[in-house]
Amino acid sequence: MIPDWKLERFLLGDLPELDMMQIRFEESQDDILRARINSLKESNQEILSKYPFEKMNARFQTIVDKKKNRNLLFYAPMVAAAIILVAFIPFYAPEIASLWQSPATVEIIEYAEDGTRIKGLSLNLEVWKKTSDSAEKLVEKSIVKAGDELQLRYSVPSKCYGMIFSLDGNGKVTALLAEENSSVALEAGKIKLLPYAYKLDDAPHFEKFFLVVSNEAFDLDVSQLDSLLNSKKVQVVTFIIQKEITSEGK
Amino acid sequence: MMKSLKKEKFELIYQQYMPMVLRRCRFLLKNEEEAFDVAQDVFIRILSKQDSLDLEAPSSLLWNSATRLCLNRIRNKTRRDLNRPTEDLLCQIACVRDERDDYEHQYLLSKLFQSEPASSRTIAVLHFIDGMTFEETARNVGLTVGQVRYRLNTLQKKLKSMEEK
Repeated sequence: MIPDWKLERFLLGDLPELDMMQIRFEESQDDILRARINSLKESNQEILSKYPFEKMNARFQTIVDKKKNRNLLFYAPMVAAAIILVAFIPFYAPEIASLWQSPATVEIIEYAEDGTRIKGLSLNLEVWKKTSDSAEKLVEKSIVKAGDELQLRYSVPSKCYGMIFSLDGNGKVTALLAEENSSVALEAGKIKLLPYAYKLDDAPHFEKFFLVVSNEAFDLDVSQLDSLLNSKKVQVVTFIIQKEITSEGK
Repeated sequence: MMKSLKKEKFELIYQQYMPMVLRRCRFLLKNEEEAFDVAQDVFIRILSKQDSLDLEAPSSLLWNSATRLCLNRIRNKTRRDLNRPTEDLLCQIACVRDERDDYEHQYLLSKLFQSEPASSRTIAVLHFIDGMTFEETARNVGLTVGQVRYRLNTLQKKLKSMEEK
């Protein structure tokens, strides 16, 4: 027996042509099937005369309009509040308004070797390698090896929040200046030395240091490193050093 | 007011499909007033979203939407314990918790008649009540036969655990 759903679609002409032909053939042979189809056709007329389109359409339209109005009433206070916020925040809460400025800007002040401030210094990160009796300032892509002791210095042009971390050739991220994974308040004024030296392990290929600063506090989520570094709210300087290739090939 | 072209299109859909939708609701709900309410709801959804809908051949989607709305109605009534027997299969299917329901409900309006995710409960009615084969059910809800089998197996397990409780 042909199920009801299939007959419905047959009446609508919504079946594949092969099925349509098959049912047409059966209809011509089967009185019961023909009666079922006729009954559906009569039901169609009954339904459309009981619920005619013009009457129903007016009803549908009223319900849809009511829903739209309800939505408008629902959203209107929120829209009004948003407009007021946008209009008045710059006057009453400039610190919030400053969040919309991008990228984050910090005043640039430069330092002389003796630590005195000179206008124009950019955000700065230096890497020094400890030698037997002194220290050597490294340049980008200097060759270092496991066991070398490094010391980092940084300067920021104005008071801000910042963090220093390193990324090694194994993909390991190590926070060097941070409170757990959160940025710390950095003082402008002099070149600062990290309170401890950094001993290189045997991670291969490279060690890259990041100094990240922002006008507002931020957190380091290693899984979201790229989004932090690409954020318009932060400024970043990096320093990369290469690892000496050892006899094991690292 | 609706523009005339939209009204014409909507009228065509209504004239063509309202009888099928209402019959579907009558069959599942066994109550003319409730059936009319649900059928009306189906068309109100079309009217609200007709610009974004693909209504070229909507019979299976209208059928499935009417089915789902009826199942919701049956489930709500059963929860309120309004003289609803719970031993029949349709009622049991309606009362099964389907994680996709929330998702479906949330996205119903925007996805209706496009690529709405099929509820396992709707699939169960198409297969167990309407007598569609796995292949026909899969075609109707836009899934593979394997996916339909998996959904039905999961739902049957839930039905069984409901019975045991």
